[in-house]
Amino acid sequence: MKITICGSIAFQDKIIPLKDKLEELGHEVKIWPLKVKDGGGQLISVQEYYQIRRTANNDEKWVWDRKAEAIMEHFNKIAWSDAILVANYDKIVETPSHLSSHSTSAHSANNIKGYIGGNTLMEMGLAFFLKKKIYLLNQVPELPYKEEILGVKPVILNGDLAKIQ
Amino acid sequence: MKIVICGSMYFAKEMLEVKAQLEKKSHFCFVPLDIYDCLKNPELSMDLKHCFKTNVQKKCFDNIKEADAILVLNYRKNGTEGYVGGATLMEIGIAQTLDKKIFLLYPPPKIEDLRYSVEIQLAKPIILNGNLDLIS
Repeated sequence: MKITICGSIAFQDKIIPLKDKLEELGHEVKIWPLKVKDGGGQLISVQEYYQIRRTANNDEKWVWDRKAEAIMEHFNKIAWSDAILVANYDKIVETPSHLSSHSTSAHSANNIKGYIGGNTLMEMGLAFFLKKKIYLLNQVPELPYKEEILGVKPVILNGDLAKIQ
Repeated sequence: MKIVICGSMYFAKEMLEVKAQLEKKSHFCFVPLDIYDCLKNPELSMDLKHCFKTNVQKKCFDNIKEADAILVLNYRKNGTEGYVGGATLMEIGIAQTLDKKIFLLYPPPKIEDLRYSVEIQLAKPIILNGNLDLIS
């Protein structure tokens, strides 16, 4: 099966072995590029890029240009594939206090099990629109858009890649 | 112009008002097919049984394919200015993929309030600042 893995670059250390496992199972797999061009045209690792982006200002145009390009490239990969696999691992996420019921500070850090970010949610929507199968590696996260995640009818693997067929 | 009106179903009343205003300007508008049910009970949009039965999300995506643009009614909600919910975020993604115009009624939310505001901004929406006359 042709599979595009979707998920945060923050999970890169887990996603590359995941790609290898899927290929061992006979699937053809695409992920985001491992290298991107920086503002001077030099190739840097996607991890390095991710670290730069986390603290980038709005005026660092090349950073946001790369992100915009990556979004469209990944949309094209989803169109190519038969299915997407959402690599949703646990992630510590800062939540504004007015959106969190348990915090007294401006932001609170929560460990979200099976985190799915906004970009991946968009990719799930596109996969649903294009009638692709949607696999979720781990449990559905407790996020404000949990219903939207469930609404695209993902198959939840609970870590078992053999369920992909 | 054919326009899909998107946003939280808590704003079903406002969606119908905007639809009427745009129709006066000769636009054709799509609204969610369950809008009148949601007028009575906005919680329906969070009810998966209802969503699966009506297939409302899929139909909205199909409408985007038919349309020229989407208009996101991002009113203040839950203390967040310019709020955009998960379903609307997906609709922005579909519009972006299909190369449709994306109008935001108000500026996008702050990144501190909604992390995926980055993705909204990278979809290059046209911000109307409340002025529907800017739709063209």
